[in-house]
Amino acid sequence: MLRSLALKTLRDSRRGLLLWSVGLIGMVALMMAVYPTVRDDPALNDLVKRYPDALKSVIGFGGALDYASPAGYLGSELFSFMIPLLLIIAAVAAGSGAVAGEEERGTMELLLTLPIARGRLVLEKLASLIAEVAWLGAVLWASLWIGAVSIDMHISGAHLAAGTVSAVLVGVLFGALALAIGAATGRRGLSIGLTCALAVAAYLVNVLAPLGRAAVGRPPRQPILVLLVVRSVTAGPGHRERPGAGGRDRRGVRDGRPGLPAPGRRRLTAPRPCGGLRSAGSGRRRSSRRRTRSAPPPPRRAGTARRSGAPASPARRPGRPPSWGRSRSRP
Amino acid sequence: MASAAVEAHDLTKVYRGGRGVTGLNLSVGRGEVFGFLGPNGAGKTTTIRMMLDLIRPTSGSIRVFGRRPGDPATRRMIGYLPGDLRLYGDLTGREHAVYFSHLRSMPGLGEAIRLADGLLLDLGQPVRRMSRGNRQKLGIVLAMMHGPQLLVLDEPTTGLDPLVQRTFHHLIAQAAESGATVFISSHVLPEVQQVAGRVALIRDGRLVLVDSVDALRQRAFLRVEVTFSEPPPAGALASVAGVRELERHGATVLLAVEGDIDPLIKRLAEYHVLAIDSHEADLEDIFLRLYAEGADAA
Repeated sequence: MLRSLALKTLRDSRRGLLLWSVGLIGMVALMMAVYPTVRDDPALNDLVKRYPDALKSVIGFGGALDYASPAGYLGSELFSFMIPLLLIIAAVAAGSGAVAGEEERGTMELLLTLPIARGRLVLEKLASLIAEVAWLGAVLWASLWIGAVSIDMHISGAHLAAGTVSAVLVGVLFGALALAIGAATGRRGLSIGLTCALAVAAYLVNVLAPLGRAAVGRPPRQPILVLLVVRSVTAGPGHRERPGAGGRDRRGVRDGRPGLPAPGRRRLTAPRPCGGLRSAGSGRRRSSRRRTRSAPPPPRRAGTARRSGAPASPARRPGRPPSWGRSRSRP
Repeated sequence: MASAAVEAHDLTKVYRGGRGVTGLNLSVGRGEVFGFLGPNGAGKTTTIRMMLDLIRPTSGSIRVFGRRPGDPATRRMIGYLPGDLRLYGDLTGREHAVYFSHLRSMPGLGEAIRLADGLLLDLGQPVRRMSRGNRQKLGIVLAMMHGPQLLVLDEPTTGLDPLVQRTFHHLIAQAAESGATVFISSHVLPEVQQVAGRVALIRDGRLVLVDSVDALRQRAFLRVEVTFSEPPPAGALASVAGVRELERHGATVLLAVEGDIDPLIKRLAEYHVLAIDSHEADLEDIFLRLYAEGADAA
């Protein structure tokens, strides 16, 4: 483990990784243990359905609030908030310490006089950061999958992988940001603070933006960067994945990719507000949607405006209804 | 002709606090053991850090073996012992050696084991549990294990006991014999005068002088503190050749002695002396004198 800088960095974080792994497994185990109770409680599901949209959006952290289906449950309980949050914390801790940590401890002084180019040093640190977050993602995926199998939850490993990979990418994004800030300033605290502030801001925009859109009736202008970050945070696709809804997982993964080009944004954002805000909408809207299942729904002012207000929306529609229908008709 | 081991031209580093280095011109030949002296905060470490590309000069240039110090190929030839040595607490000495050998692309551990044996350092201990002296020894091992052509040592003997210091000086002499250039910084002359051929004095970021140790020693003087049973008459001691009276606290007199000390001893024999304490001039004294000389000349 002392063969290279990246391996040495991994070696240094092995104890932390072990503890994180135990924690993640514990969290997943708890969620899985509770699931059968939640699923079989019609009263709870009924209650949740009657929440106002805004409340659902906030409680569901911008995602769906749907406890009935496996994907909806994992989505609202884990993938839309908890898992990205934890992976971001782990990645930011690793990223901020990667360069700034060594600098603050003073070990960087000697390290920099060794024959390693500076760029290579940062890349090796980044490599070990990615490896760390990927490891946590693997642990998550494995425990989710084992948990799902053991409580007979119908969700495929591929869908779980899609959600986990998205979360890992979100984590790596913020971890890399923390690494960059730490490398630029040499101050670990500053790196953690700035990155976390950005993450919180992204989260708030993500949760509040749909509400604002609902109120204003048009999409608020968001700077590109914030958009990218927001899209990454909301990457967890679990809440809109259905077993058998083929191809959706790929979209989930792309959702989480940090460097997502702007043109893809519109199309990729669609699933979240659709599955989130409206999928568990009011009874009236639900029934109307059921009727128009395979055709583009009639332009509902609030709905369309809230989603994008762009002419692109009808084009997107045809792909959407089947999964709505499926999730909707589930008792 | 081969370029000098270290060459600085008008090297300047400006810090906001006013500290730094101003217009430093320096040339250290290959195979030379060079002492870099100055009080704390004079700019020694700043110069060394520019030599290693840990910081960049504000203006001027510094070359190591004719190359930019940031070049990894240059760094391969350098062994560095920081003044404020920080190592990985959870790694043992041996693990440090292994890690550094990999990062330096060395085939094995090089001289690490031999050096550690020579310094009586147990490489099996984690750094966390090492004493300050042992950490310093490990720092020396790490700096010298790959047989560097330039050894940069920032206050290397801090924390080392006298016996180990002797071993260390021996190691430096060995390295110099095998052709390595050694650059040692210190704030006290005795630390380098045994090994260094030439020394540079730096103060407030400016080079005060560069001279051979022998020449410098000529200018050094001895501080002698004598306690009498009753104060001797004023001028009784200062009249001795080469002796100046610096301070007087009751029956205790502080004298500066230049050159031969014998006349002073003979004179002291006339009085009842309770205690004599003498130390060789430290750098500060030499500086004071150099400044005084400069003021006289002006």
